[in-house]
Amino acid sequence: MADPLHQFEIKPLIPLNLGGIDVSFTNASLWMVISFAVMVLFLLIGVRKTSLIPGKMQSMAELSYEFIGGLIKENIGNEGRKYFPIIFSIFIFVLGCNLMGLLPYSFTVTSHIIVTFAIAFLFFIGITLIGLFKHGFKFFGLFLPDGVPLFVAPLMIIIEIVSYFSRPVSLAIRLTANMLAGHIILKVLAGFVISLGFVFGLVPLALLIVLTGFEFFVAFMQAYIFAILACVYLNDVLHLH
Amino acid sequence: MLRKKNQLGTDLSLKERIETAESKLEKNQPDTPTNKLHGGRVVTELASHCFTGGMIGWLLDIVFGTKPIIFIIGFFFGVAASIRTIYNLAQKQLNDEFE
Repeated sequence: MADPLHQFEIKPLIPLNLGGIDVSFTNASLWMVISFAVMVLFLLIGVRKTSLIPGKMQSMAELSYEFIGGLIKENIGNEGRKYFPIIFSIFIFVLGCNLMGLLPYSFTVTSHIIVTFAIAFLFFIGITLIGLFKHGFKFFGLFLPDGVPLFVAPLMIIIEIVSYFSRPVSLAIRLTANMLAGHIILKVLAGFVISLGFVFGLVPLALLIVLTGFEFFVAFMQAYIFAILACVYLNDVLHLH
Repeated sequence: MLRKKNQLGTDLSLKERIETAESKLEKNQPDTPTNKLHGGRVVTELASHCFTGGMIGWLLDIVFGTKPIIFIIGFFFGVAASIRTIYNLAQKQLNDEFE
């Protein structure tokens, strides 16, 4: 049976070495570029010919814009409006990578924890800096919840610091685990279809079709959850308690 | 086609029709997905907090040269932090439900 983990293997396409660091252009980089290009094209075509009565592409682009706009308004309020570009970029990039990963023979970039962790951690550094610049020293009040008795305060501070630092980790793990599990299941079922033959293989094939549809749902859902949690974390640093 | 759309635009009852349609939509809408996905969220919170607590402890171990001690303490702080986060999540959901 085919190896279901083979799809996650990274192969260098153009070997590059800069000062002892391997910076090869790999299949992961290629699919990142492709999904970025596809999403940019999708939005550019959407806004190319704007009219009052939107066409198909324009209404899709407008829908995605309004979707994230509503998300920010709901979770952060009017103050969050200036952070729209970063949330929207993260959402569109993650969505693009998830959807491109569902193409046959493609590579799912978001199934590698280092990619999702890099996105989440850069965002985390960004929101920490936003909080520090906005609130100054008061920002550290985030680590001491209201109404904590003084004798458990040191313990609470450590716990809060750990839970603050685990935010990017949980963001990254959630996205990666969902994409990884879904793609492994798809490959295992595809292996069953081949090994069971023409008659009995129809059962896993039917399941495979259903699960492929479900994976599209998961791809959207995980991008949405990534964006909504980014909003929630941004809201936490903008409005302390 | 264009003429039809213009006609719709001036239709005064259109606003009412949209409003009734929207209210119907709201009634049919199930729970928001974020409310339903708390189960999955709890599991990842549990894992990520333990991991982060352990990692912070491990890094501090390297700095102070006390190999496994702070790592173990950090791991248990991670467990405590995960329980606190899950408690907060549950409390927030209860508050949302009773609002």
